Amino acid sequence: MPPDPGPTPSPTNPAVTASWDSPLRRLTRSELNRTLGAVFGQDMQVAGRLPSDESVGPFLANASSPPTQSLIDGWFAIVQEVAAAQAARAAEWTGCDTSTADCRGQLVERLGARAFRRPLLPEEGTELVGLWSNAAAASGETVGLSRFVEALLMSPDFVFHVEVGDGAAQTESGDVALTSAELGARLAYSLTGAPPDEALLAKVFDGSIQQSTALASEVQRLWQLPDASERLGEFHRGWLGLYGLELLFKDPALYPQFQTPSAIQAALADEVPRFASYVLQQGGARVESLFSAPWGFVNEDLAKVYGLEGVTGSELRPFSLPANQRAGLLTSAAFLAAHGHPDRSNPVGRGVVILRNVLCQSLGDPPEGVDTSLEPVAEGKTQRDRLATHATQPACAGCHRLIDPFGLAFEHYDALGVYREVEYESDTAINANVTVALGDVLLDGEYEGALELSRKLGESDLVRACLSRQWLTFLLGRALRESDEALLSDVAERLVESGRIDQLVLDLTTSRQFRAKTVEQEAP
Amino acid sequence: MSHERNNARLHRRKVLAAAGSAALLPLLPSYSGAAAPLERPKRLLLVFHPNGLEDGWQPAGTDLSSLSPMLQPLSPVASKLCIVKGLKGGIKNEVMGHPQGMQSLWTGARIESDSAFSTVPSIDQLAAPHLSQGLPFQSLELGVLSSTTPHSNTSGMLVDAAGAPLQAEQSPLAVYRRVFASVAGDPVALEQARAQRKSVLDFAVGRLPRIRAAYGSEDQPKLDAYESGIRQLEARLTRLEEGNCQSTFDEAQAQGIDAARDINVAELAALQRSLLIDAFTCDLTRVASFQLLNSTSNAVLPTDMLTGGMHGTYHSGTTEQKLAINRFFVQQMALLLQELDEVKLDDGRSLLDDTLVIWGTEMATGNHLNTPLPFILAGSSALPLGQQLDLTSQQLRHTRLLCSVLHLLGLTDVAAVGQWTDAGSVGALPELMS
Repeated sequence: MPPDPGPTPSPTNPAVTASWDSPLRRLTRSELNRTLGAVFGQDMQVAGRLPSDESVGPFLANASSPPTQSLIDGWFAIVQEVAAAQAARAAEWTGCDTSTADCRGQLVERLGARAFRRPLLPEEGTELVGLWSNAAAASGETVGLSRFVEALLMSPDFVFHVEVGDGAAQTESGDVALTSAELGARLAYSLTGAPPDEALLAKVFDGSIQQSTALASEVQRLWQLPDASERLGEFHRGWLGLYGLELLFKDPALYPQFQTPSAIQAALADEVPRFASYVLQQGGARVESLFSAPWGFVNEDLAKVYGLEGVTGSELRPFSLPANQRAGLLTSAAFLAAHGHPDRSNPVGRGVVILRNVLCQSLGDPPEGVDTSLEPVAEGKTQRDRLATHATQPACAGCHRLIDPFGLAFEHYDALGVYREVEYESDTAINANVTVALGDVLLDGEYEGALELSRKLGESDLVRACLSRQWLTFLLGRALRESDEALLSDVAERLVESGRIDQLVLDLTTSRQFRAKTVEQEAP
Repeated sequence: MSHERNNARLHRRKVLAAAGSAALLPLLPSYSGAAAPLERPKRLLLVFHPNGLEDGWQPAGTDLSSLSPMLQPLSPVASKLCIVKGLKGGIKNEVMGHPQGMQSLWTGARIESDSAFSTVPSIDQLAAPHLSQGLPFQSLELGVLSSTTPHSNTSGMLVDAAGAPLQAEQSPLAVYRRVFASVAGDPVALEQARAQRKSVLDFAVGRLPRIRAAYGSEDQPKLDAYESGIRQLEARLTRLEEGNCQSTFDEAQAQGIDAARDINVAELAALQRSLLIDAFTCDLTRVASFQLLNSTSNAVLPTDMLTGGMHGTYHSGTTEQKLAINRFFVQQMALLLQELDEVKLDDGRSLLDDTLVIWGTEMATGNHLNTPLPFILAGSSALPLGQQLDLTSQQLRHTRLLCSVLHLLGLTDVAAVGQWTDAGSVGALPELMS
């Protein structure tokens, strides 16, 4: 048990009993790297040895579990190393003589505001200067500086996304507006995965970020930054379930390029983020493009998967793809390989991820006690034949009549996403015709394979509604709540009109949900 | 491992006990003097590999002087093993899912949904405050290719006392830096650093009231855990005596090994074993776990038989290939037990002799069955060593074994482990409590 249970609920401290719509989140590993990078002006890749991030929906966010002892210990080990390394190169970033009181005062204020993503309180500044001076007096200048850095980086204001809110601005409905610094930080992390840059900080300091027009123009400016490309990549990695492609395994007997850790894994991991961020930042940001573009980012390794001639080098560059084989994200090698078995396609896995992540359909788990193994792969038996069992079993049919068509439409793509006319395992010509019966008027019907289905998904209102949900989850790093539904139906309607994801993100980031935190209910 | 190294380690342990852990002594029977035959184990070690053991792994009789072919690598320590046969795992039905298996194995949780995590603490975490009281680390969680991004309920298996998923650390370098790197250094500098770090951590904790006041009851546990974690860290920094413990870990070597690549699996396992043994020898903790891979890992293991990854092979590989995976797992476990047994203490007993090792896996075999879940105990003479206990006819749940482990460690007031309440799931196993 913790030594101090903290403040007890009381009438004078109502927050403690209330439940807020925005949970306290810990920085993700990627946010830690980029926050340190911004604080010290140096690229940092130190967070990889912390425990893995948790997820909210399909996205990385640490919003649910309390930190474990090993997380705190690991964080401290990193902080010690960073502090020592930065103190050793103090001359490169401090800009003043750190043995003087003036310099220490300035640095405490400047570094403190960057690390905490808010101005320091006067007593915090005083305590930090004191701690620094004591350590410097006992152990020298370098140690003094590094203790100051350690104190900043171990503080909960650095470790968590702290959003105290502006209590004075509480409305009757229970909304508490974020402070300007908090709104700036929320905006910067949600769009760029990093703390605010100088231009955003200027609008934070003069408070103009609270005005809708200034907020909107910052959203549009941040959207175009290189850091935003990374962040857009993170959205698509999560949305389409593309984590772990760096370590993807395929049977080397079928795919010799997987004999040793090879370049193709890195190319697969980057392909979709590059494509999606290009479409969203420079390519019109249209939903249809994501599901229909007959081009992609390709290098020498991926060219072999796509059957392109004459592509050389390891760098990913945009190339046209065979238009009768490829249409956007869902026919990318990355998506198909991530949702393929090591040695064969994976129609159920592909169907499930499309239904859950792209169409936001909730699917239960297979009922307890059901043997989910299908008959073995054998000559003459296609994947379609094997999946036919689902229709004959009442325990399976309910979900699999929805799932299986979305997977079988992609049977032209093998374990790695290579296009094929014949299923290798069964030596049978592929039939990718499917009938979708979701109960959605626009989407239900018959499709001749993945290209037709994918293009239709790109036009679907259901996909637009789902994208709205996924983007709000991603931007806020929290699970959606009942109180979000009105906003979601509003922005989905606007997305149907505009067709543009940049417009959707603008609508979401200028919403009440984004600018305030809200009391949801009194906890029991 | 040389004797010289063992003796040096032991010396450091004794220095630690004399200098820093006086308050602990009543709990710690001396290493010198005659060993009582049923001495209570001092340490708990959970070891895990995924996807069970294929049929035929179990020895035929009740006497372990003759092991099955699969278990041959364990021959050198056969007299220090106890096999528990015939327990069922933590689900209602016959077929065990990966999430259910992982989340229930060490916790006894009832997991209803494929997306749920156990919030019931695992037995290592229940034992830790008791066994590791006053030591620098309550427990250490070591992994080999155990992690996934994001963390998932098929890659994690432990739950801390606050109900949070506790991940194994799969980077030996991270373990080393966390556990050993802060211990070295010259005494004066360490003393100064200690005082300074106290003010560093006090500053951090001093930020909490402002945050607590702005967050609701759902978020207070995060701040509680953060605060208690910082306090634990602070207590550790003030307790560690200078130069009392060093690992022989080769930091430079470890830097060259990618902890996420399966090609390094044997090397990573060796590094983690050595850190585990160093931490035990130096008495930095008395509770640890060693997690080899995770439930759906597709790591390719270094055996000639395999063309595919681990989990894929269970679904579509040949029997020979599955057996090859099992052999790799058993070899790894045998190495761990042997290395623990090679560290000799003053009285000629080994580190293994004072440790209760429980080796478990989340399903019976790669075929997802719930029964019989394989469990191999090792080490402590409090166990009926050299025997195989066949409990098949009683149809008991593995939570009985988890409860027995806690009783053997002295937590005899624990009535049951986990969320099952039927008679077959509650209480210790009399067969182990003789």
